[in-house]
Amino acid sequence: MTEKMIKAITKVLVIALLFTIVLILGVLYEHFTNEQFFQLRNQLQVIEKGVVLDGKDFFDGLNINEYRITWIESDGEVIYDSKASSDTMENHMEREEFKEALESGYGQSSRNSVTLSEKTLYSAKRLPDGSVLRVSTTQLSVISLVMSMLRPIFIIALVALILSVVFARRVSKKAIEPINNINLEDPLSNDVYEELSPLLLRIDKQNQKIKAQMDDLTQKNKEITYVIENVSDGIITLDKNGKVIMSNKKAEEIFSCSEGNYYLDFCRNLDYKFAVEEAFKGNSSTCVINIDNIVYKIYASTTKSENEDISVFLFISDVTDEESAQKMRREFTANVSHELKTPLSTILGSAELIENGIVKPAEIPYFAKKIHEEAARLLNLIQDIIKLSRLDEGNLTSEFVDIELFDICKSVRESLLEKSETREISIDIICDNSKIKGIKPVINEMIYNLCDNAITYNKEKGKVVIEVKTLDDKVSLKVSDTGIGIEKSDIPHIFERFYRVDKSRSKETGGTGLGLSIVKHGAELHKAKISVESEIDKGTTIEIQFPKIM
Amino acid sequence: MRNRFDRQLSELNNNLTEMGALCENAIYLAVRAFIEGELEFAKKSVEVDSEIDEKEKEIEQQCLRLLLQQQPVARDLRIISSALKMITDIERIGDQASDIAELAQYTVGTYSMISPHIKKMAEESVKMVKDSIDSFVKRDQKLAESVIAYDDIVDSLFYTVKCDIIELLKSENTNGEAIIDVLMIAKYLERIADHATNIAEWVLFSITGKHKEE
Repeated sequence: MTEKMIKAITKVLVIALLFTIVLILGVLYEHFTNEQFFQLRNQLQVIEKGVVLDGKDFFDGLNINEYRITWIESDGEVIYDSKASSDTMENHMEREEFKEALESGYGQSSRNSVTLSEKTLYSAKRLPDGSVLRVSTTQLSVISLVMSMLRPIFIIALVALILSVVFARRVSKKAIEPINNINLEDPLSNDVYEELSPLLLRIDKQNQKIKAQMDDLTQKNKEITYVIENVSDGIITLDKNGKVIMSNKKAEEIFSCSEGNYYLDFCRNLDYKFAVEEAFKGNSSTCVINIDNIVYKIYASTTKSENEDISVFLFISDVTDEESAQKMRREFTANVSHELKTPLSTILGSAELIENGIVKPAEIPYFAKKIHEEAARLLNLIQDIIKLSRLDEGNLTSEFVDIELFDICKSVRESLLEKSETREISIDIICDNSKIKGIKPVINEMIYNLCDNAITYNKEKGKVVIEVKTLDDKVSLKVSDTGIGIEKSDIPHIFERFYRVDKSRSKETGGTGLGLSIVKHGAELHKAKISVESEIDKGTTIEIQFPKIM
Repeated sequence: MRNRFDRQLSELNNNLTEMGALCENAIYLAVRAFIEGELEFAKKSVEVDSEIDEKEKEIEQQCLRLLLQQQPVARDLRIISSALKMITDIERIGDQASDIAELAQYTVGTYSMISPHIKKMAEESVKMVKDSIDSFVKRDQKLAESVIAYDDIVDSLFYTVKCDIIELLKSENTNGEAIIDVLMIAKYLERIADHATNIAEWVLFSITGKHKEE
């Protein structure tokens, strides 16, 4: 910038200097030449008087050095010359000033010397006798004048150049300083020369744009961070060296890992190691690992993005519930097929014996009874499974209605009367007029199953008590017996399908092993809670707490 | 220069962690094969052992290269020399794990009759190996010290197992081969615990600069 300024200033200076020189030389030279002629003419007049009076004698003793005086005859012959001998001089007939003077009485002219360094001015006048008197003087020509002025011109140019450098520096510094000192945060608050205002306005606009974009980005970043941090699955990203770049809260909770850890630092499970190694090779893979009895499924995949810093992405989700649900489903299927198979084999065997005539006619009723019993058992089982699957699906056709629990308890006692009487077990009902909202057949089934179990697993001459009470915000239904009780370790399992506490006696006591499972599902349907208390050889109490009708 | 050295050290550390993870799994699989009689685990354990051997060679070369090229001093030298010692112990654990895995085929179902204590011994040895690797990964001085102290428990369990076997030998009805197998497994486990102790000692050395002399 400074350089450009220097150039510009210098250019202007040089041009100005040249113009000035040309102008001054032109005008002044003209002026001085005219002045010279004027003086020559005056001088000529004085000399003329002298010559007219004294003739040639006038020149004797005349001592004039500035001018050259020549006296010329009318035929051009030189009579006298103050600087040279008149004999050697040529005829002046052809001289311009001479011719002019002869014609009009006065003439003047100027001639350059051969070298052009000097210029001679001539002024001539015709005397009364016809001869011509001429006075001349020499002055420097324009060129030699310029030549003699070269040095001062050069010095002036040099000074001008130096000054232009100094000024250019100072000006550019003055122009740049405020730009360098602009407060970019708040451009409009700057106090600068007005040429900078458009720049400041643009900076301000740009600032606002940047701020808006930054706000936008920060907001987006915040949202993404929030989602990643609070998602219920663990997320870890690894760089190409296997070091953790980022991990969210859940991942840190599972692995207690942190940024910069090597991927094996926090988990050294072999399956996990292989899965991550596979991911590094570019193949996405999954593995299931068990940490402190919680099962996690880990998806390891490569990020094929342009971002080369991240190379593997781990997604860790807790699949404990799914795993156990799957395990239960597998077990249920196995159990169902087994339970269905047992009575069917008995039926098939008995029928085959009769068909082949191996059974004597007298024994046929025995086998028929067996077939009947097993078929009934099979039917019960299938009915129970259907009930369970209906409860499982939850789309029961019946509506929720107000139910008087006492009525149901009474009808359950009626239907179990025969079974209880054969074992001399009493069923007592302690009931207020509690009502709940529910599906009648399901509630009936639940209470029936509980009482049935209470009788089946009771001792001879035992007792069953059904107790219904309305508490603060719920209705409690308790079925307690004085039976054999349940082992503590068995209690968590009694609601599982086909779970039998005493597996060897299952056939003897009958039942399908699905009773309590139905109770549990029924309770879930009614948003009720089940609790079990039991003591070996003392008895069991199962309590269901229904929500109270509001 | 130092930057490159740091990166090499971190690579060495990662390789050691990897080898530790392999070793930990080798012994875990071997013990499960032995206790649960699952021969699939035994096969896997032997496979893992060969991987451990390869890893040992790799780390050994890496350490030697570091020693020659970088001529480390003080703490760096300690880290590299302890790494060299540690891989020997880790490799021995891997070997013994695969030995156990091979013997496991012949002791399926019989070990609990021979000595009820060997299961606990196996579990404790696995825990010791796990903790020693853990102490290395986390540079945990306390954990390393607890591993060293734990060795006494495994030693006393070995003594108990030995007593069980002596009792059994006194009775007439004995299965000689199975008894010898179980005794050997017990001995392997005891050696594994010793190697785990060594690892813990080298971890302590790399942290504190002092190695426990016996």
